[in-house]
Amino acid sequence: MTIPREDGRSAEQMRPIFVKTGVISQAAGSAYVELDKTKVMCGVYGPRQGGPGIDKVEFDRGRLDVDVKLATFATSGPRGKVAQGDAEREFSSIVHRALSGAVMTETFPKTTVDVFATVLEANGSELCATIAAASAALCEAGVAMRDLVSACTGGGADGPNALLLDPARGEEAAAEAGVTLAYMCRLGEASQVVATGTWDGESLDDAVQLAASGCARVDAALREALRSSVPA
Amino acid sequence: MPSPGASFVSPGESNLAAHLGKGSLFGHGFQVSLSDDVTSNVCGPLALVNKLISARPLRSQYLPEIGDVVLGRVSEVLAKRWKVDINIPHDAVLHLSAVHLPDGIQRRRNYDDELDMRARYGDRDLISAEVQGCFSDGSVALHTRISAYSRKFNGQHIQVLPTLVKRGKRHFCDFQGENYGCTDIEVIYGCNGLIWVGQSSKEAPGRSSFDADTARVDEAHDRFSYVQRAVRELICRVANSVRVLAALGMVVDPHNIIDVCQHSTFLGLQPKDMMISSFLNHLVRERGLV
Repeated sequence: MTIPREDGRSAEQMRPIFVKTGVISQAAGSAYVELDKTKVMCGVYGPRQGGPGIDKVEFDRGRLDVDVKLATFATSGPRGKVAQGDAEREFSSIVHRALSGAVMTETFPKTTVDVFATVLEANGSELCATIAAASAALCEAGVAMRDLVSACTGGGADGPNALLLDPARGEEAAAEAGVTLAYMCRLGEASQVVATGTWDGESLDDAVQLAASGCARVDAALREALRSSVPA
Repeated sequence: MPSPGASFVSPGESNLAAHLGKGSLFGHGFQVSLSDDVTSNVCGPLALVNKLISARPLRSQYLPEIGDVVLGRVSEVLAKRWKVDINIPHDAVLHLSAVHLPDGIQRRRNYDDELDMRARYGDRDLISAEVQGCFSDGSVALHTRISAYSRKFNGQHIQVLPTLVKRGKRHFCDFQGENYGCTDIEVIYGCNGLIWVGQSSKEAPGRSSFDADTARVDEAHDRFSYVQRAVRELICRVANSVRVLAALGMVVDPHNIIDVCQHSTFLGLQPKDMMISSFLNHLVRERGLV
């Protein structure tokens, strides 16, 4: 079953992905990720001593702080803190959970690593782009990780039966259901799955499989970008 | 999985033992599982020392080692110790018992010394020190037990990437001023990436004891001394050479600094004009970096 997509892709085709590391000179590590028109900038700072709530984590572990912001000009819909605040909070907690499975916090005890991401343009799958940018930035900052985390969304445009990989904004809005998978490709472990809408077991499996294939593409792009940032 | 003979790893690459040779030992940046499978957990080029393989992250923070000369800023004066910011995750601690007293006298530090800590190193003072010890939780102890380690005035400090300063025999190295028509200036290469360029602080005349009142006067005297124009210009020239080297990603050492300074004077550049791109391009061509 093939439905023509608004940008002429096939159902299982991703948008072109662009990754560049080392974009913020002040930060310990940084990355910029583009999924066609979805653009995310991410900076990692630290590790630094203390930080809010450092007493609440175990003494032999560090803390990962994630703050995702939507630029006021990122979306074409309602803008400002009232409209975007909830989305930002939800984004931050999802990205945090996706990364905390990979970041080895025991390597920086009693300190905090801050991850700040800004969505410059939200044109669908901004969550995936943010997770990918954050894991590349952490990697560049020299934070020890079990694996790179890449993420991808599989969405149902016309119910769970017609799955689309990496939906753009219009497709996302029309989708009745979607699965965003944060996946550590080399380890073969998922660190976060967010499913919306109604799914039955089988179609959810298909959607996760589809998202995992997208993650593999993102993973390859991240590794390539990290490798090319090293002078030969 | 990395390609055979890979020189670069990224996190999560497994089965490394088979690819990098059977008898290899794995150091920083790797994790060995119970089933002897080796997985990388940082991203960066591989370094090989005999059979030990380690991966250095691309842009890592400064990792202190005992004996490193560092520059840092006093962030807090606490009971019997100073907290010093030396660009590591934790604040470094400088104990009162680990500082050199004027005239090098050896004695127990008493209550008067404790009251007078701000006269030694006050808040926000820039000091040079040596790493005395590193602890397992990442904190660091410093000492300033020889008179070469002191607080710094009459100059400027430049922050570069810590990887650009190599550990060497000499981290205190005076820059010869005779070709520039002035006295020598002092350059300190801090292993944490802070470089100090300033007027040479000659040994203060010995004080017979650590007397609080005279000490305060003397310290104030150290602080504000007149710096001649030629010296100031040379300080700027050397400081800008450091910035140029950092911009080009070259190692900051005495040899390179002298080289950049010579090039700039040869071209008749004022210190303020040293950061222009045509000069950087000129250096890149001269040094054959492209």
